[in-house]
Amino acid sequence: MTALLGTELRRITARRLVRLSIIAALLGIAAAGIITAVHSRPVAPEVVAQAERRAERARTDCRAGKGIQPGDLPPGQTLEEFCLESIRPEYFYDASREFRLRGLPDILRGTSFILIVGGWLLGASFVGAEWHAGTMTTLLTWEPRRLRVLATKTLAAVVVVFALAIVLQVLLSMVLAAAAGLRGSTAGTGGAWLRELVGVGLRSGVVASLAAVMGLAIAGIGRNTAAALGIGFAYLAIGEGLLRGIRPAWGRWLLGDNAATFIDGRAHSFYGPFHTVASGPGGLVYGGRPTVFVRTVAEAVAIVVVYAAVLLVLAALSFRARDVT
Amino acid sequence: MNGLDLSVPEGGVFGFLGPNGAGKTTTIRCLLGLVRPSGGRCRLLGADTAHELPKVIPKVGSIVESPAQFPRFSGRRNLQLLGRLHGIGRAAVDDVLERVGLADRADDRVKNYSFGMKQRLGIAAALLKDPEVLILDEPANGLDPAGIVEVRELLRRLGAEGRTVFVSSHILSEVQQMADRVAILSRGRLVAAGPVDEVLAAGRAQGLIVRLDDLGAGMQALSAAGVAARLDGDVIRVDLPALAAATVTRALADRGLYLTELRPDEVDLETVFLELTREEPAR
Repeated sequence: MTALLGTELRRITARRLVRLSIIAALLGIAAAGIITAVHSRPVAPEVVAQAERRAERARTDCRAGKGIQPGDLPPGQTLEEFCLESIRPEYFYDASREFRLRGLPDILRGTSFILIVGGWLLGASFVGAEWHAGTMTTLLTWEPRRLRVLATKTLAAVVVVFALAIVLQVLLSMVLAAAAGLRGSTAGTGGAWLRELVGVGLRSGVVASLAAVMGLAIAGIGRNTAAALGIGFAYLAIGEGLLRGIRPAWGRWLLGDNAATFIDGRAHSFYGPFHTVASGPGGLVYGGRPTVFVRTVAEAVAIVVVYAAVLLVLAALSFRARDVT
Repeated sequence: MNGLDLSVPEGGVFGFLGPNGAGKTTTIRCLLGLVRPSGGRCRLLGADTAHELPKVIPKVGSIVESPAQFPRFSGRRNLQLLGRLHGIGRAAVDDVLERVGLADRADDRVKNYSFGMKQRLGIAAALLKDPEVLILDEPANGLDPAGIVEVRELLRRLGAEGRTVFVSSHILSEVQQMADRVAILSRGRLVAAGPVDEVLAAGRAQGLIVRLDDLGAGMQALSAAGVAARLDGDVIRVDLPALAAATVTRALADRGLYLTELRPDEVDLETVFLELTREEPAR
């Protein structure tokens, strides 16, 4: 198994798509750093200090319950967390052109989508290209245990996609940190910020890896890359959008919403329909408070893992049962 | 496949023949565990290929149709990657590249190889395990005449070394020259199997071919001597074994007729093959 994994890792890292993706990502990161540094306008330190004092006063009021009641807090957040999160110094001065490193976790939340799409594509093409080129047949004449082959390929895809996701996020963070240090602000980047940053980065890597598993599984079932890409696009762009539009509360079961919840690292709420409170000649009357469904981070990752696992099991059953012709 | 019951003895070259669609590649895929039979069993080195193939696969080298390799890797790297799966080192890779005549181009990318070179690389991959059994589906596909001769000699040597070489081919003259035994498949059924000589003998018309200037006079002379003969184009076919050629020469010489050619009416594998695999006319 180790020899097979070593072989698969060599194969996947030598693939043209992988190398082109790395080059494109590096160019994108470099461009992001340059554009950020050029665009950013640093704010004078005394303006920032004054804003921090005003923000702290506002937080003190917030902690005292002024303007917010504990019952109105977002699910899963304490009053302290809410006040810290929602009252920031930059709200007290014009910082529209200042790049603040404090916002880096949100940037990584945004770029996680690119990593997920990239992971899906790499996973799908890793298996799809083998079927297309006929090398799967060659491989099976050397290692006929199909489940072992699929498991090894999956592991190789997970390892490579996760490693790439982490390395690229680290590089992006370093480039943006340099831009913030030179022409922006590094205020508010303490230990809590770093923990949040690392958490978002790791969770993005995990979801990108799971996306690779799903892409690989669908490409394995369809025995080509296009099937996985087509199904992935149709499901995420059309299927989930339709389902979410019909029943917003179903979002708590959808792949995209759960992936977003997990990457975000905070519980998300999904709102059900308003209740019927009366029925009259004009039709039904809706009112009251809708049912709120809270999806925790642990539940969200469990659901994404279940999606990936189900697809992988289907791929394994298909691979084991079908002839290789 | 339809009731195929075939046993390949250990050692030597076994030719597996049949027209397109006869089931040769399906049989090979079944042997290699790539397809599962809906009924019956395939056994390889005593192992049921449905369940026990991993036990024997290290002893089996194979080519299935056009052998596929990673086009962006060199030939050498492709073989090294495969070799790693069974702990095969670089020296063995260099050795098989040498044996198939690819040593000079081993570091070129496979995508730049000709079809024949890819076929040689496939043969090299099949040889890489130093296998007891070689299962080769049309190994001469795409090779130039010199390459075909080289592969024939290589397979002969491998068979002579005591390995079992199971080779499907549509180049019947090649199979006739290198195989010890053959099996002929038609529409999923086995129509002939055994040592090449026996298969040829089974399809051989026992007779002689006679050529002379005056065919009409020759027919009369043979008829008068009580020899069964028939005119076939510009020759006379005589229903006598080759050992009875003297009967023919005497009958013709007695009438003052002299031969321009007298030879056994030999049948080659192609003739037998075509005879055995001929489609029944639609009724």
